[in-house]
Amino acid sequence: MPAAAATERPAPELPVAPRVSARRVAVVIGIAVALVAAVCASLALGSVKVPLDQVMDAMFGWLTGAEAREIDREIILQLRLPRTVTAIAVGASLGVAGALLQGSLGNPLASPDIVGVTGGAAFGAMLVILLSPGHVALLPLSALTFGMVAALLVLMISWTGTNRGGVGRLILSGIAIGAIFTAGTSMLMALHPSRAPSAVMWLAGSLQTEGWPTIRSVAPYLVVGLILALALMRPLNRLALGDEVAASLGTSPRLVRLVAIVAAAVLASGSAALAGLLGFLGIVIPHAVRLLGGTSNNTFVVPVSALAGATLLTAGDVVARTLKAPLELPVGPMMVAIGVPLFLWLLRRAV
Amino acid sequence: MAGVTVRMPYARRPAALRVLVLAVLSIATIVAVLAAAAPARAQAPERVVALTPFTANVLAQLGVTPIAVAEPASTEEKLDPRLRSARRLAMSHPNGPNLEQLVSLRPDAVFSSPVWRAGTPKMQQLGVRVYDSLDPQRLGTVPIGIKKIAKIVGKEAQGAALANRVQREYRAAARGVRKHPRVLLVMGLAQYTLAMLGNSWGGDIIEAAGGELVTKNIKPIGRTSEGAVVGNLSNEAVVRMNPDVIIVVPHGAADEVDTIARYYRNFAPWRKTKAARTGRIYVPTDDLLLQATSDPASLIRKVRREYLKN
Amino acid sequence: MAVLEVHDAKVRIGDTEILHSADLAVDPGQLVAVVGPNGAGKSTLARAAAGLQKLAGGSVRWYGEDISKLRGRRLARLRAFIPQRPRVPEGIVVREAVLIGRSPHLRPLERLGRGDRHAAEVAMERAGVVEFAERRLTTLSGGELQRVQIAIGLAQEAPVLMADEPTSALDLGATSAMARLLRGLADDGLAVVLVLHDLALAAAIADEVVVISQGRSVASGPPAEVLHAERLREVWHVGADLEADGTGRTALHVRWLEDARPVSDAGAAPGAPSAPPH
Repeated sequence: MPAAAATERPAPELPVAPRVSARRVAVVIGIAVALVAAVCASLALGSVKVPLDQVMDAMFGWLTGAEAREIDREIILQLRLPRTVTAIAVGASLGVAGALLQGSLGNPLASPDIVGVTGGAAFGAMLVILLSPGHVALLPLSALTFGMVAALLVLMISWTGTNRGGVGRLILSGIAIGAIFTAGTSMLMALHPSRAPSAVMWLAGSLQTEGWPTIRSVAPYLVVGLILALALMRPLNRLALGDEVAASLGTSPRLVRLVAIVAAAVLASGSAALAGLLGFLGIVIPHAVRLLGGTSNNTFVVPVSALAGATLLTAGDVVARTLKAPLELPVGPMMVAIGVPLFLWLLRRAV
Repeated sequence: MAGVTVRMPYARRPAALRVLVLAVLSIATIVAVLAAAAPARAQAPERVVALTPFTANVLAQLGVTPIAVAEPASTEEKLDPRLRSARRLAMSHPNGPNLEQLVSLRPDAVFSSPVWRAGTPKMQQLGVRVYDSLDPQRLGTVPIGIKKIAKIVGKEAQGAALANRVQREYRAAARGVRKHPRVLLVMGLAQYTLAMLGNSWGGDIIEAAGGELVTKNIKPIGRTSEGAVVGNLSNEAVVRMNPDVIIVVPHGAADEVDTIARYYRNFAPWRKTKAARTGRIYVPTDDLLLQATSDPASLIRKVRREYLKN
Repeated sequence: MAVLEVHDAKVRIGDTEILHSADLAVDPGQLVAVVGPNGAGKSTLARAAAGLQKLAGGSVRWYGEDISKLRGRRLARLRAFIPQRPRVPEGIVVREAVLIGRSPHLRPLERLGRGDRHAAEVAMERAGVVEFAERRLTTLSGGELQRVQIAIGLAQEAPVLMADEPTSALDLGATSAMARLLRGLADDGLAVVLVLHDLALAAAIADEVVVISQGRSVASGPPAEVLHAERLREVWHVGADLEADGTGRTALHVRWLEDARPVSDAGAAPGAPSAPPH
């Protein structure tokens, strides 16, 4: 096989651009710092006051040998720590899910809602809350399952017929399936109005969980989704150049889209199973990251969306827990209250 | 001239006396007119519909039989036996009874509640008089509620007597408390801890039963008049407050009490509380702690006997 | 050995057979132009040859190997295909796009190395786009964009470059620049396959011209031999002469107002309003 002509030439004296732009590095460092700050706040602050030395002892007692008071230890290790971990996991998952869908569908308005996943997960949660409240322990599993079922239906419908796997077909199927599940949810709420308040609470989004047991059951799915997302970064870049150029480069556009949707569905279903519906993150975080970094390169957008989503949700949860302590506010509005002004500011400065 | 009573001729009585007679006659006329007019406004309604167990039972005890009552839910207060003959109306959210059915009964007055308030304007448009703010929201207003209902049906005397009796009874039920356990009262909804606050019916009952409501001093978010008597309590606070007793009232899920009880007794965030450790997490099979009953005394006694053990 | 050999290719899309029988052969250092009227099947032939379109019959061979055995990255290292109207993504700069062209040389989780960056620089220099390497694709003109597409293809370091109508949307100057670039690539040893509308351009830069008409390849050979007046009348239904002096200066003399359609289409009266030619 003949070698390409280009490599037979002597290496020209060409300037090689710096590997990473300073702006992107600054953005990553900035968000990482914000995340660390949010995590510290999430552990140190909450619905009740725990003195800082007790917080430190609880967290690092295994290192220093000091032991915190039992009640404080219970609060920090069994309530605040799992909650912080949940916030980071859900925030990252939703940010990444949005980035995956926007990248694979080439649509800036894409989010897990568009492929019907959110509607399915909500329906699964409502089945438990409204039909069988005694089996609340099954709620995360039900939300996860129905979210995946919805995504599966969307894929099955859009992968048949003319223009299989095309973006338009995917979006339309997603809207249709989402509508079916949303209608199902409304019917359930109409049939069990006395149980509606708990349904409403779940839909508004909250990071209140049972702690470590819930995280353990859902975390594997989120990890799988995040790993798939990392593997999809470069294929999505190829997809950005168009289906035909991607094919020319040896990628199957339909396969990449399929895997991206599956990964996004897993991440969004798992997140809904843990925290209810937090649609804001999936749509806005990838855009904010693109505006901040000045690039749509998926090797930047996907991981930084994870960081940014985790930061925003953790920060929102701190506010939700502390503003009217010891009562809790829903985390969705708090997150939006922090996120929207930032996003609007970014839009104004858009470069 | 001593000892002689002189009758003065009419024409020469003093002007002051004439004015006095005129005034008395005017007042008498006015009173007579008012008395004649008053019954037209305060005529006691005869055909009465009671849509809450509280109003139904109070009416029964006042000797008034409603023509119809709401079909009682299994978790609500049991209806007085005297109401056996009253017609049952099926209730559905958000309006309450079927309006056509209701109007066909030609009621003079309907006793409703904030729960069914969406139906009030519709009933009023159809010419029915509706009272939907009489259900007491707290223990202290039960006697007041009884008196108001009594006044509307024209049984004020019986109402006062009943109110006093009820008050005496529940005060008696609250006496002789030996222990004051710390109590958390919660509406069981999924994994949220919706705690009843100090301004709630349930909170009042617990306090009357001698319990110390741990959420007594927490300010609600929102207005009490709008039903802000519960709060989404963080589990961190539950652990810190460390209640001796936790009572979980399953709202609208009476058929699943067993599974719900198992769930809350094993609820991980509560595991370190005294209540969880000593097995004192209770799940009642009724909603009596959520809304006012006409017999608070027996409720208080039940709470003391079964949950607070004092 | 021919780099690319297409023999008796048949392509069916939906219920319609677009290509009935088409042949194509390319050698290294050769620039082959595929020409023909709209809807004749030129693009389909090119895409079938590139492996982007399934064959219903016939064969496509790359270096003697049947294309069905060549998958994904292996095929991508053999040929670079530049589509007619590629998508222009937002938020990507030229250098990033060209680096994406290196992916056939990277294993799934492998990072870009010095060799890759160097190859990208070389590709950009060759295509003449280094001056705007840091500019966003969305800020480029049509001609600049087309050269970036060539650069992406060159970054693949494949011995064959295929382009579907790379000059159709360009102005005169940009077309001339593209002509120089493509001819230069062929002179450097690349095998270049172009689908072209512009017959004068094809005659100027191609070593060989393949004429596709109604789903069949009807002629192939040097431009002067193939694009004579008879063929132009037969295939394009136009009265025209191609003038080429062998120095890259060509002209197509067209009698624009002449009705040169075949007799069966013209109808009874000459000059009568005609049905659209099929």
